[in-house]
Amino acid sequence: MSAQRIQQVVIVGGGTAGWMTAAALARFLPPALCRIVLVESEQIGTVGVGEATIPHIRHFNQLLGIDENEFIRATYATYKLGIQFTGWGAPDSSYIHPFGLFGHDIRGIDFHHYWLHLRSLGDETPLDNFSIAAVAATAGKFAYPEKNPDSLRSDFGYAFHLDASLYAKFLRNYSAERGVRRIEGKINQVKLCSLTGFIESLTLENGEKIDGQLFIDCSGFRGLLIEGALKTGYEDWRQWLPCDRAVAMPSERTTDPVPYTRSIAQRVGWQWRIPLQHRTGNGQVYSSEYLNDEDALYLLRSQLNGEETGEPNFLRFVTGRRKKSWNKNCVAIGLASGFLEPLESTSIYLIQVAILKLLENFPDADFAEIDRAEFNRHIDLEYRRVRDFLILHYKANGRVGDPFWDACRAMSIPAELERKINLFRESAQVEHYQQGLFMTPSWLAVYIGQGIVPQGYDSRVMRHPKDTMADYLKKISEAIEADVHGMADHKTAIDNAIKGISGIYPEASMNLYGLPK
Amino acid sequence: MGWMAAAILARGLKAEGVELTLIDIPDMPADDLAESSLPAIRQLHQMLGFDERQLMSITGASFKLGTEYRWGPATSFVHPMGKPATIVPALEQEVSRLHLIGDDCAYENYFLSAVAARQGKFAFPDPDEKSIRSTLSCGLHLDVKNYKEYLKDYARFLKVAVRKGALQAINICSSSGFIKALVLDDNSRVEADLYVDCSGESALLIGSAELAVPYASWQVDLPLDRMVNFSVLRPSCKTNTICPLTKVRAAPWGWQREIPLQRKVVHQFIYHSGLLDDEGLAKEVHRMAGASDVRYTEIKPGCREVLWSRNCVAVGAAAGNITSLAVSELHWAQSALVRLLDYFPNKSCEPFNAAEYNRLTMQEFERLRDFHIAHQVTMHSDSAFARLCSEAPIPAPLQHRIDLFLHRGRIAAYEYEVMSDQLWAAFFLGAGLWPKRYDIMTEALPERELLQNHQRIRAAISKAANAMPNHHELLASYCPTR
Repeated sequence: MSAQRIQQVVIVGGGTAGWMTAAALARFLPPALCRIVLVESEQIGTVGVGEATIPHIRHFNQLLGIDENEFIRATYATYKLGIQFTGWGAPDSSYIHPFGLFGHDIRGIDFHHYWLHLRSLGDETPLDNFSIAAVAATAGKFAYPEKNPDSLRSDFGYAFHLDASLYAKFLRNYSAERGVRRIEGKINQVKLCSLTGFIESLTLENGEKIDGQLFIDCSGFRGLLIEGALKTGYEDWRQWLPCDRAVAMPSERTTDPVPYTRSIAQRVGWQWRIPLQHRTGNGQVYSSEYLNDEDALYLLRSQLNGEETGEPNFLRFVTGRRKKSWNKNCVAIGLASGFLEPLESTSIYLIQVAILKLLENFPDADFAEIDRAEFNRHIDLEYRRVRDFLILHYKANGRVGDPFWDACRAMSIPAELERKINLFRESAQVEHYQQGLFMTPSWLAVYIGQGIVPQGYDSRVMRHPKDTMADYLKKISEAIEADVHGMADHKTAIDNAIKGISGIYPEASMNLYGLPK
Repeated sequence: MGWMAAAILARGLKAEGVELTLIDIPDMPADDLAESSLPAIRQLHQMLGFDERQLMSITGASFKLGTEYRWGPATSFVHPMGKPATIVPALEQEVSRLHLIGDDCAYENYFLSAVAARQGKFAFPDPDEKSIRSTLSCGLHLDVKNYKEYLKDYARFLKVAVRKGALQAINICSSSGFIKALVLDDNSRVEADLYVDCSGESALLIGSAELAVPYASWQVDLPLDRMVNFSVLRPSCKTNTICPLTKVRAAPWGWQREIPLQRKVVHQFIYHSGLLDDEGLAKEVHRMAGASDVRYTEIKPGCREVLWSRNCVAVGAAAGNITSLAVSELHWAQSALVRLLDYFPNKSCEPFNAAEYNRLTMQEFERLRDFHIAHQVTMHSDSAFARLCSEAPIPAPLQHRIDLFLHRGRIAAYEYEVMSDQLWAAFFLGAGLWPKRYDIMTEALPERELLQNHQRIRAAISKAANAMPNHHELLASYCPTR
C-alpha cells in the first residue's frame, strides 16, 4: 500500500445521521488505524421526531450486532408492516403499501395480471387481500416472517416506528463503547486549505481546534460543511414535489398502536401518524403557497385523537439534493445531503445506504477522485429512485377540485417516470430495475391503490376460465386471512419483544419485501 | 436460431392458441459447429421440459465449469462459473492484500469450479447450501447440428408449422406500416400478426427496405469480421481427459477458441480478415491434424437501432452481433426470447410495451458487448490486433469499471448486468488486473493470521476438487454419445 490511510474522521452533527455514521464507522474501521470524533451541540436541536422506517434498518442493526429486542426497548419502537395511504386516490379511498409481495407469480407470470383479469370479469376483491403484510397490518396483527418458502409467511419483511432521538442516544452509547470521541461545542469556523480547497480543521466557539482528514457533514438542512464551507450547490426538486413545510406534534396514545404508518391526504399536502409505544407522532406536510403555518397547525390539531404532549415544531425545507454528496474531503449524510419528504419513510434508509457506500468506497488520505465518483453515482441514483416514486403519489392523485392537487395532476414529471407510468397504463408492466429502492410490489401498490387502471395485461392469463381463477384466488386470500387470524396482536407482539419472550427474530437483509433469499 | 425461437415460443404460448409457422429458408449461412453456453441454458431446458441426459447424449455434449484463457507464452487463467467456495465477505479485498504482500496464489483457486475443471473433474451443483459443491454452476458444450435437430423435433411435436421457400416480397400495411404478409418464391403468402426475424446477419425482415431499421456497426469496438469453424476428432482412447472448460487463446489476429465435445473438439478462429489471410489461415488449420468440417462465416459486430419495430422482432444475429467469444449468440437470443414471452403483445403491438422490450434488451446487450471489449483490453496488449482494438475509446461504463477495480478492487454496479460482481472480479483478477489498494476494513486482521486463514480455505477447496469424479468418466456413464 503506497497511499496513507485516513487517521481521523470528524463527524459534524449528532442527530440520527451523525450517530448512525459514528456507530457504523466504529464498528468497521480498525481502531488502531483510524480515530473517530463527533462534534455536536446540545444547543442545536435535531429534527428527529417520531420516525418511520423501512425493513432495511434491521439489516443495519444486524451489521452492528445490535439485539433487536434491546433496540425495541431502547427506542420505544413498534413494528411496522407497511404504510396506509388514505385519500390519495379518490378522497374516500385507502390502500396499503406493504413490505411484502402481492400473491405469487404463477407459471412465471406476475400475480397482478391474474388479479387484473379477474377484476375485468367483475370480481372486486382488493389487491391488498393478497398481501399477508397488508392483511396483517389492517388486522392489527404481527408475526415474524418465516424462511420456509412454502409458508404463507415467507414473503414479507418488517420495520419499526421508533423515537429517533432515543435511537441516536442508543447509538451514541454504542459508539462511545467503541472509542468514538464526542466533543460538545458549536462550530465557529471551518478552515479550508488555500491550495486544494479541502477542509483542514474546525474551530469551536471555545477555541478548540479539531483536525481531520475526512469530514462527514451530518449537520442537517444547513449543510454546515458541504454547503456553508464548500458551496457545493443544490438541485431544487420543488417543481415535482411542491411541499416545502411541515409541522410536527406528538400526542398521547389513545388506542393500541397499529403496525403501520398512516399517511392521510389533506386538502393541501398530507398528514402522518407514527404510532410508538408511549405516544403518537403526528405531522402535517404542506406547501406554503397553498397553506399558511397557522392553518396547517389548525388542520393538524383538528384531527388529533389524543392530548397534545409537546409544542408544535415547524420545519421549512427545500426538496432536492446536494449536487455532490461527496465533495472534496467532505461527505454529506442525511439531511445535509438532500431532503425528500417522509412519505415513504426513506430518511433513515438514505442515511444507511450513504454509510454503506462510504464504507465500500472509504478513501485513503490522497482522496482519489474515483472513490467520490462512484459514491456520488450511486447515491444520486438512490435519491432519484425515491424522488420519482414520491412524485408518482402526487401525480396520480384523485382529489379533483382541490387546487393544490389539481396542480399536481397537471404538472409535468421526469421523463423516466412518465415512461414507467405509460408502460403500466398500457400493458400493466411494472418497469424492471435492479439498482436502488422500490421494486414491482411497491409500484403496483401505488398504481392500483391510486386508481391507475391498465388498459391491458398479460394475454396469457386470459385463457383461464373465470370460475377456476376466482376459486384459486379466493383460496389464497382465505388462507392469508386464516393465517393472519392466528397471529398475535401487535400490542402483544411488542410486549413479548420487550420482555424478551418473542422467540428468535429472523435474519435481516437489504430487501424491502422479505428475508434473505 | 429459428428452431430455438420456435421451441421457446411454442412452449411459452402452448396454451394461448397462438399458431406458429417457421419459414425454412434455403441457403442460409452455416451455423457454428458447437455451442458453449452459460448456466442459464440448463434452466431453459428445464422450462422446455427437456431430458438433459438424453439431450446431452444426442448432442455428444460435455459440461462446462468455466473458460480457460491463454495469452502470452505462459499466462492463463480460468474464468469460472458459480461463486467462490468460501463465505469470506469482500474476498477479493483480502486476496488483493495478500497479493500486495507477495502471496502469489491465483484468484481462481478460490473457486471449486476452476480448481476442479483444471484437473478434468466434474460434479453436479449441490442444491444444499451447506455443501461446498453448491458453489458450482455449469453450462453445456453442445454439437449445434444435433441440437438443432433436437429442437426441430420438439417444435414439430408442439405443432409448429413449417413452410419451405425463399422470401420474395414483404407486404406492408400502408396505414400502420406493419408487415401484412410475406410472399415466398412459390408465390404463396404467409400472413401473421407478429414476425420474428431469425434470419441471421441477412436480417431479411428487420433489415429489409420495407422496415429499414439501420444497423449500428460496432466494428471499431470489436474489430473482428470473420470466423472459421472446424472440428478435430478425439482419439478413441478411454483415459482421455476432457476438461469441462471452453478454451480461448489470444492470437495476434484475434481469438482462437476450443469447445470440447465427447468425441471431437470444435475449433473456432474469430479474427480480423486484414490480419489473417486465407493462406495464413489454411496453414494454421493444417497444423491441426485431422481437421474437418471447415466452414467460414462473416461476422458484423453491431446492433440494430431498434430490435422490435412495428410487428417485427429481430432475434440473434439479425438483432446484433458481439462475436460470441464469451457469451454466445444463442445465450442472448434465448434471454431475448424469454423476455418476448413476458412482453408478448396484442395484435396492435402496443408501443410502450415494445419500447420497454427494446430498452431492456438493448441495455443487456450493451453490458455483454462491454464484457467482450474487456477481453480485448485485458488480454491483447502488443499485437496488430491490439492496435486495431485501441482505435476505439472504451465505453464509459466499462472504463469506470476497470478504473475502479484497478484502484481498489471494487466492481461498479450497472443496471441490467448479466454477470455477477464476483465473476467480474474473477475475470479482472484472473487477467492480472490487481488493484493498487484494498479496503481499510481488511486490515483488521494481522497479515499472518489472514494468510493462515486463506491457506486453510484453499486447502479445503483443493481437497474438495480431488474428491470429485473425472469429467470424462462421468460423461461416459451419464450421457455417452449416441
